[in-house]
Amino acid sequence: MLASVLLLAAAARAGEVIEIAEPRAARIVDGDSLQIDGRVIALFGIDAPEIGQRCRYDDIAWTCGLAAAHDLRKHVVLGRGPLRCEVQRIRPDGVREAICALGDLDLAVVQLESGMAVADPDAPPGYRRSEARARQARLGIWHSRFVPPGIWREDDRRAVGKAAGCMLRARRDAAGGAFYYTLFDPEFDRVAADPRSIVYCSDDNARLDGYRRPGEILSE
Amino acid sequence: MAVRPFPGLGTVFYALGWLLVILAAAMLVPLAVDLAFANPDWRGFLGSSGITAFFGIALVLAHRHRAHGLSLRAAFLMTASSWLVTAFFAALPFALGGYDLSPTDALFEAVSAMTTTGSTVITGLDRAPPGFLLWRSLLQWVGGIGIIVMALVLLPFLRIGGMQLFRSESSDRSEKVLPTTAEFVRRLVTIYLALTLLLAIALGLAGMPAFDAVNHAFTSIATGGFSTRDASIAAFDSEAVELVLLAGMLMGALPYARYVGLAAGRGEAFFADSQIRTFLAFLLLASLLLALWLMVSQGRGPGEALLAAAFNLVSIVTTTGYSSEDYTLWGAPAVALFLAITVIGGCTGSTAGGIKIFRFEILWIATREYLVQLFLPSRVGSPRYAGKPVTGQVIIAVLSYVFLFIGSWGVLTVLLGALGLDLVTAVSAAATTLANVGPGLGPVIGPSGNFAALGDPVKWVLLSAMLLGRLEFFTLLVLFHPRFWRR
Repeated sequence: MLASVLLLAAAARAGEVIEIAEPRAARIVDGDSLQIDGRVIALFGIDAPEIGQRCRYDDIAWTCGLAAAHDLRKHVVLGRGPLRCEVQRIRPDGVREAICALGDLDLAVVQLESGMAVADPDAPPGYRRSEARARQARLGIWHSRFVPPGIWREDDRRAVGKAAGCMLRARRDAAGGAFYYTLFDPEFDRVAADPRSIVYCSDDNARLDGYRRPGEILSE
Repeated sequence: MAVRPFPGLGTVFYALGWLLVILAAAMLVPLAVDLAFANPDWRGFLGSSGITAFFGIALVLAHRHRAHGLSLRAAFLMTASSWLVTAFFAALPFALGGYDLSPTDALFEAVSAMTTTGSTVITGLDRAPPGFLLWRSLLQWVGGIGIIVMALVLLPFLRIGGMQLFRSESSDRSEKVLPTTAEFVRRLVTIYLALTLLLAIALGLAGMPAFDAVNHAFTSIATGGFSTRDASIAAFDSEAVELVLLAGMLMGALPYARYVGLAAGRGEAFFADSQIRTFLAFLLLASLLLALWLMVSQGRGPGEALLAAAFNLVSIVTTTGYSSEDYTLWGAPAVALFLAITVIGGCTGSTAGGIKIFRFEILWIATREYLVQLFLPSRVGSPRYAGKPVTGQVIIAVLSYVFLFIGSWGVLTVLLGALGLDLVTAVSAAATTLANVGPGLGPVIGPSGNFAALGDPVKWVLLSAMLLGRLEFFTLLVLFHPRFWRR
């Protein structure tokens, strides 16, 4: 498959459009975040369970954060045609909140309708309706008990000692770069085997501690 | 009226016992693989194998003196119970291994494997333990040969849904189920093994890693559709792999009786078989039309469009369920086409599910006869299929089957809707499980989706639908009739 990457890089502001011809060239970070070349993108209007988060169904604590990430990745790898992201706003750490679509398929809506994310309080009405449908049908996280991702992130930040099973590792390299990797990155196994690497259960918390994605363009 | 056992029950338990012993032995294969890869899951396989072997041996020993012939009702019971019982025990490794699977999820995955449906509730396949992946694939492979034997030996004897057309001459004259079957089954198994080996080698040559090649050889010849990757075949990003799997899926969906004939030198029967011709002609025509649509609507090149169209179309029609991309993004006409072809099915006497090609052929013959009789009422037609007369009884049997299929589809859709699913998910979930295909439509259970997201009640409905479809309805429904159990 020929991969021709179209990168329409406008200035880093709302209204910026990031597009690639081959969706599988995008790297998935977790259930609501991805990286297209040097841009880290959070799907606008939704919040998925963090990569290390578990939800509780009966007495089983299942890996809902991982499941959400796998679901997003599956849609991206199986998609064809341009993946187009329209930036809505920029966070202080440079992450772009964007509406990303494969043709007519809004990836945020897909995650909501599968029960793999919650809609943000300020999400468009359509997003809240998608969430309501999934909640009514008890799909995905809605057939379990779970801590809202925002609160889970704060608890995780305060927690001492990370669960070894969290599939996110951060490391400072010899050149002074500080990067975080998830299980979908080809370098993950190598980094995870490095005794200097640190386990994180949330990409947001890794970023708060100063780590960035490999290849991330840090300033414009 | 008291329920008393009918003749042949001992044979049923005896046969079930042997099935469980075979299943327990099969569990040793993933056990060995996990040991080889130093994965602790081998303990789960050991425990499951022990439990299954215990019940199997107990049944065999308890009924070895009562295993005589197989009466008609005992044959029905054996067919249905063999699927139900083996699926339950096949779920043990999923439940007892360290995979965090609920009992519902374990049973769903086992039923999906054995019926060669291929709907999965597992995410994170890319990093799953090797024994776990192999068990899923092995179950589909074993389920596949079980389906072929059932379709070629039992269903014609039981006259299910028109299948009496495939009864051999000898079984027409005798009431015994298995007059010349042992040799026939031996040849079937040999051919199945040979095709599997051929596919594994071809996949390896196409660039697939060895472990993946073996697993996909199992699941493609069984038209099951389980993959070792979350993204199914798209994960391999290889046209060569897609072409080999395309051939594998086609081979799995053709009538195995014809392979036996081909191996014995009767090649002309293979190429003259009307089911094979209809099936391949339909696939070719539909693939060309779909490829044309992709070229027009998405501007794709002809080669790329044809491969994408053919692979995914053949995958659904053969009821395999692999995806090389998300075809629900191809536009509304394509989505509608994929829904319609979900229920068509493959050829009878293969591993494929669905309504089956021969039933469409019979209905076409019947409709054509009826049409002619409308304006030539005194004409007496004698339609034939595969050299045998298409009697009124055959037509009724086929019509009843199709009626049950469509009726079940409707009832299941309403039930799933009542459980909260949206229309696209409900309709496609019902269709894909009844026809043992695998993926549905829409963002939840489409080719990019996963059945893990569904609630437990929905999963129970769907796994029941998989069994109902695999057992071609009647085999399961007779068990619910009170007279079936009276002496």
